[in-house]
Parts: sequence; C-alpha cells; structure tokens
Amino acid sequence: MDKNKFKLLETSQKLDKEQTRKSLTYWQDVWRRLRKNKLSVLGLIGVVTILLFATVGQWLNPHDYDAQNRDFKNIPPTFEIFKIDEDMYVYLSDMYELILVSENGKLLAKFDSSPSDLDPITKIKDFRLLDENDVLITFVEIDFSYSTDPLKADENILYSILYKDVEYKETYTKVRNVTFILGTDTVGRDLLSRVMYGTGISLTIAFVAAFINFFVGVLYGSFAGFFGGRTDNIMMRIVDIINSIPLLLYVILLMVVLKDSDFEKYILDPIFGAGGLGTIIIALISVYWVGMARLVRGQVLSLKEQEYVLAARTIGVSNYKIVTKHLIPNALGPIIVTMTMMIPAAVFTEAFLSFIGLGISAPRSSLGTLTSAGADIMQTYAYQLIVPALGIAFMMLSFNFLGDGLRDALDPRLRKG
Amino acid sequence: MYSYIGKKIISSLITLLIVITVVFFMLRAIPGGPFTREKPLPEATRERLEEAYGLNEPLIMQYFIYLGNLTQGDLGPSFNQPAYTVNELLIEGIPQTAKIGGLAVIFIISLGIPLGVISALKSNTSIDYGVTIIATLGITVPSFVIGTLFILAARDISWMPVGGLDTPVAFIGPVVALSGYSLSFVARLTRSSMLEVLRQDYIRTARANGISEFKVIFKHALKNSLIPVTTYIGPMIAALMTGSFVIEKIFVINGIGKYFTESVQAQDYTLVIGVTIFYAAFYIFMVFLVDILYSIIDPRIKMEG
Repeated sequence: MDKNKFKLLETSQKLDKEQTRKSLTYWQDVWRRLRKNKLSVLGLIGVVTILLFATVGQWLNPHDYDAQNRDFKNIPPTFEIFKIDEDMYVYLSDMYELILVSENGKLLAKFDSSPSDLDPITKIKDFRLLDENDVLITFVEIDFSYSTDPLKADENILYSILYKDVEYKETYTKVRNVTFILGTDTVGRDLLSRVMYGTGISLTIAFVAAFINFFVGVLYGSFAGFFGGRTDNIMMRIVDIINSIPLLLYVILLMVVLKDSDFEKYILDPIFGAGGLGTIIIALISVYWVGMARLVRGQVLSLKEQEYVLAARTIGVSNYKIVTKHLIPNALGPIIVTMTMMIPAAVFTEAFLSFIGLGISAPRSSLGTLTSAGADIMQTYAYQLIVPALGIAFMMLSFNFLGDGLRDALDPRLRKG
Repeated sequence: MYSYIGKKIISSLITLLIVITVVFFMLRAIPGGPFTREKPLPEATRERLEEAYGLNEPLIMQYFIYLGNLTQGDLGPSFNQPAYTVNELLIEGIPQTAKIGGLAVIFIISLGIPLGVISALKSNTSIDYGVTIIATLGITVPSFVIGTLFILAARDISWMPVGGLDTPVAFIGPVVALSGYSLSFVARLTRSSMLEVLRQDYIRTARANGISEFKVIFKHALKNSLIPVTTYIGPMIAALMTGSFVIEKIFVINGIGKYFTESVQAQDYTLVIGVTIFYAAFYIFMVFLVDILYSIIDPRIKMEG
C-alpha cells in the first residue's frame, strides 16, 4: 500500500471530529426511548386526557354528579322529536313521559300527566303543560291505540301525537341532547358528570392503592432482600402463602368484613368520605403489595452483591443509607413499571367489586358502579352501559400502553443505539 | 421425586389450613351474626337457633368443630337458605361452573397457542399486528364489559339466548367473555417466548442440519417455548374461576360464582366460607399440579422443595 496516500491531519482538524454531544442522563434516555414508541405516547396522551377529564372536566361541566332532575329521567344522548306547532317541539321518552324541547335539542319542560289520564277505551292520554303556578298553558294528547288496535297495525307506528286537532305520525328530526350531552340516568342525574366523577373516584382508588403498595412493598421487599437468610425465608414464606390464593377472593372477603364495620365508620369514612371508598382502598392494598414486595426483594438480592455496595460498605456507609441511596434507586425501573401496571389492575378490581355489589355506594359513583347500574337496564337504556364501559376500556388501554412502553424504555437490556 | 411431591403436598396442606383459619376468624369478626335481622328475633328463638348451629360454643371450639366437620367433607348448613347445606349448593353449582370453565380452558389453549405461534412466525407482518391488537384489547377490556356488550349485541339475534346454558349456542357468550383475558395473555406469552426460542443457537443448528422447517418449529421450538405458558395455565384456571363470578351473574347461570356473589350480598357466611375454601383448595391444587408438570416438561428444573 502506498503510504503517500495517507497524510497526518492538523491538530485543529482532528478536534472537529471529536464527540461534543452532551451525554444523556438515565431519565433523559428513558424519555427519549419512550417518545420513540408510538403506542406508549398514545397511552401517555390517553392518561393525560383521562386526568383532565376527571379534574378540569368536572369543573367545566355545569351539572353536579349527584343532582337529580325528577323531570328528565333516562333521557338518551340523542332522541327523535315531533314538530307540533311553529316553534314547538316535543319528545316522548322511553318512559312515556312527554317533554317539551327546543329545535336544537334543549330540554325545556316536562308535561304533567298521570296514569288516570289514559282513556281506557280510546287509548288516548292527556299531557298538560303547566307553568310555575300550576296554571295550564296548553295540552297535548297521545293516541296509543296503534299498538293495540289490529285495524291500525299496518301503520307500523306505536303512537301518534294530537295537538290542536292535527295528528302527527312522523317524527320531525333526530336531535342531540344539548342539555345533558351523554343523557341522564334513572333518577335524572347527568351521566357525563357521573362518568367524570366516577373516573375521578376510580383514579383516586387506583393511585392511592398504587402509592401505598409502593411504600409497603418496597419496605417489606428491601428488608427481606437486604437482610437475607432466615429473616428473608420467613418473610417470603408469608408472601408465598398470601400469593397462593386468588387475590380477588381475599379482596372480596375483606370487603365483606370491613363493610359497615366500626373501622369503616370511625376511621376510613372520615378520611376518604362516605360510601366505602376507604374500604376498597384498604382491601386492595392489603393483598396487592405482595407482588411489589417480591419484585423489590429479587432486585435487592442481586444488587446487594454488586461491587459498589461493597465499596460503600468499606467506607462505612450505614445499612439504611445503602438501601435508600444505592439499592432502591437502582431498582426503580421495574418498580415504576409495576406501579403503572398496578393502576389498571386496581381500576379493574374496583370495577369488578362494584359489579358484584361491593363497590362505592350512591350518590357517589365509580366507573364500576356505573357499568353495573347500566348493565341492569341495558335492554332499554343501552347508552347508560356503553358510556362507562367504554370509559373503563379506554382507561385500561391507556395505562397498559404506557406501562408496556415504560417497561421497554426502562429496561437497559433492550437499549439499542 | 417422591420426597419432592411429599414436601409439596405438606406445604399445600399447611397453606390451605392457614387460609381456612384466616377466613373463619375474619368472618366471625364481622359485627352481628347470621341471625341479626332488621326486625330482631325473639331472644329465645335466637338462642335456640344459635344452639342448633353450634354458635353458642366458644369461638375456638367452633373453629375446631368446623375443622372436624371439614375433614369429613362437611361444610355446614347455609344460613340464608336453611333447606340446603353448603355441600348441596356446591354440588348443584359446580357442574355449571365447570362446564363454562372447562370449555374456556379448551378454547384458550386451542386458539391462544396457535395464534401466538403464527404471530411469532410471521412477526412484523399484518397478521402479527392483527393478533397483537386483538390480544391487547382482550387484556385491557374487562370480562364483564365484554359480557354485557355481547348480550347487548345479541339481543336482536333471535337464535342467540341471552342467559342460561340450555342450548349449545348459549355457551358462546359466557365462554368468549370468560376467556377473553386469558386467551389474549396466552397468545402474547406464546408469541414472545417463541420469538425468544427461535433466536437460540440450537434452532440454528437444527436448521443447519437440514431438518425440515415443520420439525424445527413443532419438535424443537414449540416444546421449549411452551414452558412459560404451562406455568401460566394453573393460575389461569383459578382466574377463570374467580372471573366466572360476574360472567355467571351477567348470563344468569346457576353456578358457584353466582352463589358466591349472592352469598356475599346476603351475608350468608357459611356459604361464603365454603365457596372460598373450595376455590382456595382448587387453586392450591392447580398450582401444585403445574409444579409437578413443570418439572416433567423441563428436566433442567431440579425438584427441590
């Protein structure tokens, strides 16, 4: 090879090629890798949306989660209206209550009526519109004979509306419910507010449970892992026993024991408010810490044999400092992943408990109680089931995506470039 | 081998005893008894009832009496349905639960593993993405949501019953809703462990030796990649059992899950404790079985207590 083809560079030129990029810290690196994963970014956006929905949303929404509107029960998000006069629109609900609405779907007033207003022979029922002083403004009649009279069967309608001697058989248009965007429930509470409030409650349960789990699990696990030997053996046997039973059974039993007990009445309710919120949290944390404890113990067991721990020990660092400054921070990655995954697990368990009748009691709501209540009446008012059910699914998806992404981002073995 | 199994049996029994003890005392700690009603019973009646059910004995005696009866397989009378014993209710309910549970297990294994294998073999193709999306949905959407939405969708289909288990079609809803989570989990687990195994050196060696692709996958790769799946099967069956609580409620099936939820709501403690013990025993047995199975499939795992 011809040596003349190569020549020495000037010193200044050499420096140009040198790495001048700042090195990334661990968390910067994690964030960089998390951003690259589309699904986890989607999950993160979902989680932020849910948080905003439950906090800011409740504040923006004009309705209270526990305010009952006796006039507007079980009103769906969209409904068909009849135009019976210039600027007069009515909607007959599935509960056969006649409601005066505006053209764009605003609920104005309920027509007054009682079962005795139904004529048993003609099947025509009177509905009266009264003002604040119970003075009759106008009245509407509904002909229900179409569903019973065989001569009218081929008309294929259930009823027609009579107003000022004109019969209206066809609906005018379908409108969105602008007063209650997602409709109302069986006692006339705004479903949107209930879902927002319920999301907040579900999140509260999940976050509090996850954080307490974190502390208990880390304390227990690092104690067992650090001291090892017989201490570890006994502590882990206890974990094994708890772990050898389906956790859901324990949670259910604890709920049964705690519900309506003095402990709930005097200790939990003053902290978390009435309705059994504290009971669910206690039930969740008293069983779910074992997973965290196992994980931390495993991490501590392997980390404490590392040279840097030996080095710390040599210069006389106390046990407490070694655990808190050296061992736990290094195990933080898997711990955070476990916490993220615990949130959807807690949401699910809470919903499950509510579904079998052990959840938050009314007027408070959680996504689980809402789904459960919706399931009871889903044949008629499907929207009351679908809205909270989709809420749960969305929440679970978001947290799972985020957790999966975090797991990949925090695991140094998967680091590439 | 035998000493390992012996040790496992003993530790399982100890666990079961601890569960029974904890559950027994937890339920006795609840204020009020099974005969506390809104309208109080006359003192004499209550005393007679408590005597009949042995509730007048000291707590510790009650515990040993219960344990004694339990060794003979007697779970006691049901407080809320006095005409039945807990055993009778369990015997009535178990076949229903076992039917959907068993079908779900078959469904999960026969669909989840092939899906996972296909997904791994065709990794990063549209088939793989499709399986992954469905699996993610299955894991994240709770079974009771799947179940209720299924009923909602099926209400307009005339041949699809909305409850009970009277016709073969009626099984579709409960089994699909029940297996959603585990099916997705098995598919994902199979996929990731298959991918891992396919990267191993011995697979490359097998291919280099000219063994047919079919044999490489089914004889060499699949067997090893099923090890983590096997471990999951035991807890999975238990999860299916507890998952069936709501499924039975939604689909109106008279299984033990329904008895359990009803007994919890009605505070029928003997039934609660009976069902719990049944579940726990079943679960512990399953884990035990998987432990044994595990060491047979994978000889590298030493049998040590």
